[in-house]
Amino acid sequence: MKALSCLLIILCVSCGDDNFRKVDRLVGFRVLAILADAPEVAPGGTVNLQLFVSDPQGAGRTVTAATASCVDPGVSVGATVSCDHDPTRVSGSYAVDTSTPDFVSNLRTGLAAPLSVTVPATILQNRSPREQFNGVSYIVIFDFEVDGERLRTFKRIIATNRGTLNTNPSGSVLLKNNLPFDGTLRKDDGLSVTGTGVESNDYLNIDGSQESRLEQIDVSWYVSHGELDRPKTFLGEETEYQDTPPDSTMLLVSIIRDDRGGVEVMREVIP
Amino acid sequence: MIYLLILLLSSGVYSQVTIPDGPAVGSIAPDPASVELISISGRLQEKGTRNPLSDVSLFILPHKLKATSDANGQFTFSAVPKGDACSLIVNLSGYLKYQETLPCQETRDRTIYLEKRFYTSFETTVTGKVVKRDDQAQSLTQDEFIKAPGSFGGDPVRAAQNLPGVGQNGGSAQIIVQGASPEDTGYLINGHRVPLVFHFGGLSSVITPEAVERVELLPSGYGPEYSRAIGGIIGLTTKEPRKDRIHGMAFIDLLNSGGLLEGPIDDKSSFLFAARYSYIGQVLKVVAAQNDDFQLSTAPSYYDLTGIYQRRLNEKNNFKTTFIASKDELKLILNRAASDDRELRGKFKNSTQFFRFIPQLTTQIDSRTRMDHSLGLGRDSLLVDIGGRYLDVNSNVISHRSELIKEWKPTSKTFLGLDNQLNSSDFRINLPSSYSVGGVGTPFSVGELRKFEDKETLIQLGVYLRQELKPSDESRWTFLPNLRFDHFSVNDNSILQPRFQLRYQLDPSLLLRASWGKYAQSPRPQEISDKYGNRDLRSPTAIHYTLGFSKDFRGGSSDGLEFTNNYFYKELDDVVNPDLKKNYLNSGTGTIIGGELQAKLRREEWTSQLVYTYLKGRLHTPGFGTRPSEYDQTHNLNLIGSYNSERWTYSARFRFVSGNPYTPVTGASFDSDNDVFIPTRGTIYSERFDPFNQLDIRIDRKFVYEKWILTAYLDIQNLLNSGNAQNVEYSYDYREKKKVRGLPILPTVGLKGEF
Repeated sequence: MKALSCLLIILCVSCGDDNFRKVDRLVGFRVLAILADAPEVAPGGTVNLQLFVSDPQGAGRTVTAATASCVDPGVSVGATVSCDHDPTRVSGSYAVDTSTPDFVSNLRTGLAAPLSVTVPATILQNRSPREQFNGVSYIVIFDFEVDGERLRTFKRIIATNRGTLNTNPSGSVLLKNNLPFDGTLRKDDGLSVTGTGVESNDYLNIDGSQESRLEQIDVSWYVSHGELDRPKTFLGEETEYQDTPPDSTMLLVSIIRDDRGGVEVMREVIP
Repeated sequence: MIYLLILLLSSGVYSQVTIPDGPAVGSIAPDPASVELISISGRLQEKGTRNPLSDVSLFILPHKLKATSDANGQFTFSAVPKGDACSLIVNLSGYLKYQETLPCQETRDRTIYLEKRFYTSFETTVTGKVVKRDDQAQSLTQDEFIKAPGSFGGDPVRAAQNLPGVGQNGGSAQIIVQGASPEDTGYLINGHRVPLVFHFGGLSSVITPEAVERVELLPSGYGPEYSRAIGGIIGLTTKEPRKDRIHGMAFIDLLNSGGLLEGPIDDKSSFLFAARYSYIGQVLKVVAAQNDDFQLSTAPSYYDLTGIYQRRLNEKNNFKTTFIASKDELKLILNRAASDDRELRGKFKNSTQFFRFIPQLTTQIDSRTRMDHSLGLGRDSLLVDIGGRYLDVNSNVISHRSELIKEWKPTSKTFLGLDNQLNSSDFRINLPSSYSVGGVGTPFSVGELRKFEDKETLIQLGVYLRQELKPSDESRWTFLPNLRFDHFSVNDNSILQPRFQLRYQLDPSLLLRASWGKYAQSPRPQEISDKYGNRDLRSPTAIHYTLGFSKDFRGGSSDGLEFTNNYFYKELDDVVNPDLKKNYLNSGTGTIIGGELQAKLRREEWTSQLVYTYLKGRLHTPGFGTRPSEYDQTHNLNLIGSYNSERWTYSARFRFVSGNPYTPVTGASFDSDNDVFIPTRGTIYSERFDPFNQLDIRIDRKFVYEKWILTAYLDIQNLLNSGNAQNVEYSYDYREKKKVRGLPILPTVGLKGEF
């Protein structure tokens, strides 16, 4: 039976059965998302970035990162995440302080201080009409060295000449068993997110045709204790909490992403 | 004979017995005036198969009468003294002795079944039985592949993996020939290209084994008849339906079941129809119901159909047409995102299907001139849909082959041929761009989404000339100067491919051979696409050099040793590699060098074989340096043995293969927009998996009845349950990893009935 099971899984995904750290479990220092106040801007626009960080075992500390900003080297087509290619790159530093009251009251999980980034005004020069319309990415890289490990994370800011710009998802409501979340959690409770505003946008396909697309909203789930059956869900789709909550407090985080760089974060301290 | 003598003496009729060797019918006739004479007639057939047995002596005792069966197995005793009882005796070498006491009465149409001592003479790989045009070719006939261990029920293509130069594919549906990429190997049925030879997972090829006459492997240095594959060629040839009577076969095992029917339609034509259906998915559906990671909405299934019609049009023309259809389908719902990639979840559908209609006309113009024409008409369809991201390709295919063979004189023979193919394809694509080097690629959700519909017509034209020249009738040398020309419309490339083969028959048992040749193939569709690829790509080419010999130590006997030794060297040029700016470039070069040997020893009921291949494959890509090729399996050893014991056949295969190289992941960057980690690749193919080893066994038991044969078999793959890592699985952030094992122990039991 196991053989047949593996055979099928080889066909479609992979044979799991691992003891890896679970993606939905909050343990060490981790960047869960990077919020931009404007996911898309016109060339020359300025964006404030905030890292949504979790460090439940950090006991409150300041973690620093080296930053670099540059035109996307082509990460989507396989380039290494780096700014080494760009002589106009902007380097700097950034600090995350998890000892602030907001972090303390939310199991060391929250939004860090903002970082202001300005996209070059010339970013669309010499770009194809399709690239100018759909947008060119300007990436901001954060290189942390924490607990003896290097962590690299990055965020794209889309620069476009398209008139209507993307905004972050908003209005999301957390549900438990299809009812508004009541601040408590039990084993087998179903969690979902609804109410998120879904935008449409125009997109130039590679064959030159223009298409109106609806955003696809995805939700990433995290807990500081236990495990969820689906760490990622679609909007309205349920994930099940599969453990018994601890006697002490625990944290539930849901991060809502559109597929164009927009982010909304929600967190609940339970109970 | 002693028994016969005692029998005759004890009868009391004759005091002295001599059984004459003479004429067919009733050599000693009693006095007709005193005894009423009757006749006994019938037919002599092999038990189980009902094959007529000709030229066999039958005796009736105590009358000491002898008859001999004719070509149809018919026999007649025309003057047998009527009586209460007499004995009918047949004693034929290779068969169990037949003796029956029957009333000496007028009897017609009596059928006598002789039971063979051995119904299967298992030989895993035997070359030379088939008339080969290419000295480099390795062939397996149906009788050979149907009982091969590790072939999962006699699959011809899986059995071909026992041949020298064929690498282990880790349970995938790919064939690795002499270290070449599987995409560089062409798959043919009756000389016409098909998109795949295996169903899901590589367990079974797309055609019922019993409908296949032979499978042929052309690994390198082959003649000009084939091209568009810089690696090798795997060719399946369908059989000619039998004409003697209606034959049938049905089988059932854990994975699939099917049947075959063949026989004459009239005195000039015959047919064959075969079908298979796999229900492995029904089993997997039960498994999947217990797994939260995915739900099977449609159980994976496959089926294939084969139809063959043959008609002898007249003395000169023979017509044969083959129809093949294959479909694989899988639908599931991924509850958890695979590899934590948010795009790899939701509804997943994969469907692959194709059919080919292959009419062939052979015209024997005169005793020295033959003309063959064939067409391959069909359609290929591929659909992959992952949560609304899809690849949907439908191609109408027309391929054409014609060949004129002219033997000018015994020392000179010419082959002139055409080999053309047209693909008219519709594409519907909505997929992110992908970039993968060294087997490490960007996650699905990171790529830039590209959506388009397109139509494309690809034309591949080929013409070839093959010469077989001997300096004289007695000469041991044969020279084969060959030439092939191919044109690929997709990139407007025309390539002349000179090839040369040389044979030296030192003595009847020792053949020396060498070859050199150029081979070319068009870039793959995704590489040449103006949306995903690069229209300016050239056609990759390879130069093959081979050298080898075959020595047959058997001296005319069927027992003994056969030995084959080959060396090959391939130079690859214009290899297509991914490129960040142009999508793809002809930036690669490479070499594959190796040697292979095959030793086959047969001794009565024992057959054993040693197959070993050594190879070293290196590819060079600017920016990435020189590195092992993905299929650089340095050592590849197969030990195969079998033993026949009347109705039992035991066979086993042990395989040891160097581990495949792989590229380590040295880190990862978190893409906060797509919530996925992008792996950072280390030095390409700088690490290797542990060596692969696998023991397969197979036991067959035949139950022979008068008019049919039942075979039960047990086939166990990976009896030792060796781990055989084939892949590396990483945690979501690539900080943890583990090696994913290959196919665990996999037993199959099956039953096959045939008449």
